[in-house]
Amino acid sequence: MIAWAPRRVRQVLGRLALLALTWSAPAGAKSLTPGEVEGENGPRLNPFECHGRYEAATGNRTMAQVRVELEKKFDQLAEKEPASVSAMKYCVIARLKQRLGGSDAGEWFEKAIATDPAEPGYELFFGMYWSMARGARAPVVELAETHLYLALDKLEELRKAGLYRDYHQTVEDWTKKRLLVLYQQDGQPLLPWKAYEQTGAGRLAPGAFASAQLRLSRDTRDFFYNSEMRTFTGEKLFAQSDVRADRALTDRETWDLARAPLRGQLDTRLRLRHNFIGAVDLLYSAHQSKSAQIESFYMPTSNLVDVNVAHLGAGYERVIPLYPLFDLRLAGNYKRIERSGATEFLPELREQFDSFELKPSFSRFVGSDKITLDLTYVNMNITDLPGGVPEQALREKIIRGGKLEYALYSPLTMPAFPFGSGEPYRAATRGWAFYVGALQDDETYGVRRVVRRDLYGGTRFDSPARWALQLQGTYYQSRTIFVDPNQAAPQERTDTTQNFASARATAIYQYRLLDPDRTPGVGDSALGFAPDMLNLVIPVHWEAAVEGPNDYENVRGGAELWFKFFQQGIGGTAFLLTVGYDAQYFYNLGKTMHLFNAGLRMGWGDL
Amino acid sequence: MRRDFLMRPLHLFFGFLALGAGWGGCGPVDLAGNVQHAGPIDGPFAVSDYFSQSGFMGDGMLSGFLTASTNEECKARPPKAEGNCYRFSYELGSEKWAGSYFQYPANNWGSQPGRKIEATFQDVSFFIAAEYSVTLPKGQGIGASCTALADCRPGLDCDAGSCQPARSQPLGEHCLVSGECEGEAQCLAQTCVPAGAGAAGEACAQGSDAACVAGLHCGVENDSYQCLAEGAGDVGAACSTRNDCRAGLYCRDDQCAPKTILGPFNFQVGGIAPTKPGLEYSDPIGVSYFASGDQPQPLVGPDWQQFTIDLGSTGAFDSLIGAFMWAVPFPQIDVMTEPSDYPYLADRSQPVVIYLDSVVFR
Repeated sequence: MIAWAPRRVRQVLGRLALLALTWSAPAGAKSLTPGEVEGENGPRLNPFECHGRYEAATGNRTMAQVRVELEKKFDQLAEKEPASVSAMKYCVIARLKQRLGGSDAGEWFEKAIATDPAEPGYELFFGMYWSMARGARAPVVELAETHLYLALDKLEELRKAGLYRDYHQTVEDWTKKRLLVLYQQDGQPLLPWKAYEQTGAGRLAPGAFASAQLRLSRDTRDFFYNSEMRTFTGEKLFAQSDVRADRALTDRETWDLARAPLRGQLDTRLRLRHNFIGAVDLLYSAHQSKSAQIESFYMPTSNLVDVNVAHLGAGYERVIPLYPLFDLRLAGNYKRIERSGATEFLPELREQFDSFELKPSFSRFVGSDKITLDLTYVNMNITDLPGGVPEQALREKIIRGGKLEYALYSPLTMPAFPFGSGEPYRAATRGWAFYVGALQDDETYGVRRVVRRDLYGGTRFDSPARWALQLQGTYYQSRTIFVDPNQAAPQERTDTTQNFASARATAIYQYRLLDPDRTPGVGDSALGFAPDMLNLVIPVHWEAAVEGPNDYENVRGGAELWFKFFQQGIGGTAFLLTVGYDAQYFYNLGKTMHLFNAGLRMGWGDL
Repeated sequence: MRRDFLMRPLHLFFGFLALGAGWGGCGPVDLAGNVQHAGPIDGPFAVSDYFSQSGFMGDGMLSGFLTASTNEECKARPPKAEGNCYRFSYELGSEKWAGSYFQYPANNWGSQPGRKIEATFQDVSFFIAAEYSVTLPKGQGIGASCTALADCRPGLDCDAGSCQPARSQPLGEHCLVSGECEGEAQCLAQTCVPAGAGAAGEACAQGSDAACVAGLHCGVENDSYQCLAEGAGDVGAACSTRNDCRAGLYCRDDQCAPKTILGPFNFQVGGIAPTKPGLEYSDPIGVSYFASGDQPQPLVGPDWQQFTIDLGSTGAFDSLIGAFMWAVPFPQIDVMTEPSDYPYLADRSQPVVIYLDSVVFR
């Protein structure tokens, strides 16, 4: 029926059909047959044999060499050998194909599982494939959990049959850790089935999770990481404009505009998750910034008002594998927002408006590397200014963004200075990503529009050791365009008095004091708390004017600690605790500011 | 095989790039699409269609004294209302007067040209109304039981065991209802004034009881003001229309309340001029209601009154930055001296509310 379609289209349709089957009738672990129990499929093999052979075939090798190793593995497939041996070899091929970015890696995992259906280790590795290798900015949760729960099912069958070996404890440990990590962003499990310690019953059971994130900061920068230099300069330029104070601000006013309001935000989420559906979220958030907003730009520093924002909404998220094309993350939400303090002259005005957000991501392996495209679209239908002239009262904010990232996962030849030999060595990094991105924020005020653009590019190198380094350059631009209704055919023009551009250089050094990758299983806990990750992060920024005033040029540096732990006693909830301090020096103003931020997250979204 | 290896990443890269570019095209609409009427104004218009209420003067210059809202908490709109209704809530400050600008574009103090106009107009008209709260004097109201004169509020007698209007206050003295005034008089804004000649069924201008003979009040019949027999409701009595209340009172928030009068006000079309050197634009005209020859200062009460400014003699004008209005909240107060003579029983802890509606050029 679809024979006319191009091969790739057929493959995608086939994949979708497979996905539909996964939704409608996922296979469970069947009871072990006598043959399986008695080893008629061959000797029982430790599935970590697959892991070991994979390590041996990839260690200190280039991707080309790994490809050769893969070819050899095909040659080693014998027609007549015990099924358990064949399954292990299929697993090695699958792991190597995964490493090389082969889109058919999953088929080899399936082949290994089908050949030795009693072995839970292959389900674990297939689950790891969906949770750690595939996906777009998020794992393919539904397929990952399917295989991880099947692993638990099979472990239980082995236990019942008396075939549970010591190494199965490691399989079980890893499986439960992968499930913990898989749901770590979801928050506190409210239902037992997907909570730690998990059992095979969790696969088709619904999950409900409560998430809460509390953030506090006293910072020049908002929680959206906007450029504070652009914000302060924009405020100054607008205050000086002929529709406001129409004068140069005094040095004192300019100095005072650089401010660090106390901000607090609580984000809560009730997430309902089911293998057939994906994640459906109910969202509530409350935010307050104390003395943050200028009440009147005629006197920009005389009165600063509190900004309060609350929203109620709903969201959806799911990653859909569409190989051989790409993995697609569907993510979006709708929010009903209530806000006060954000409208000039009307600090008491309570605005109520709708906001829509779409954040799809597309990701695909290119050989062993991965290319990812993230898109963002936010439409805030902000309340029109009450009672204003219709053409001047309209308010709207649209944010569009895109980020293209290419991540190298090939082993790299590294200098070996830390090891003292001076000889270069080849090592698999945790990834070396190069990215470029653009973000445009169009905020409309009737017949005027403030257009803010961010253009950025950078690289992040995750070393094979404990450190990572990110370097980024960002170009910020702000323009105000307008039309004159007096014209019979109004043309958009630029208000050049409001032009501004700046450039920021950022370096972020990260050191893993406690490395989660070194604990593939569930870590030791004290009083139910199992520390998983502790990172020291040192960010340094420098921002300078390219066009317009340079009052707010600054350097900024500090340190942050990111600590993640699982509370195993309450279902394996992941907590993320962050604290940070920065000092920021506006050298043209001679002003130093001490900034701090702290956050406690029980479950989280995009960080 | 080699070709596939090379082409796949390129396909992917350009595919993603095209996707990103397409995504970038989902931007906001062209700004020109927000313009309601492009080009010069070429016919009759409501001021609120083009000019923003965007500036304050007098006590309004300081935060908290003058609050403006548009199309919210307005009085019932006047017949054939056009444009917006503005409500100004004004708490008396040290200036004792306050005002508001209507400008194009918003906050234009002469830095930009006004709205272009290609039409001639005969006049500009507007509706205005105002009210303030009154503190009731001590003592029982009309109809309440009493044993002595002291039990009743000033202006009432204790007659056969109940408080009743005494008809004893001479002209110029304080009152709450007309029945307290002596002879042929009406109570206008808490002061006894000579009654008018309007007989029952005759029209009474702008809802003024003073236009009617004693014993009648200016009520509403068939959507027009007519002298009618006054109602029975005293201050604070429940009412659904002004007809339920006694002469001197009107129905405010479903209760009979003393009618009040706004102090002097001014409404000016044009007249916005640069406030400092360097600003180059000003209005070509400046026509004021307040300063229109021998026109007496009108009494603005809680009922809508329509005023008209003649533009016939101004000639054609090709642009307009805007208009402005200012008002003194209470009659009789002198903005230059302190203490002022505030109206009898005026509750200065409550804001004076001024309504402006249907400002229309024709």
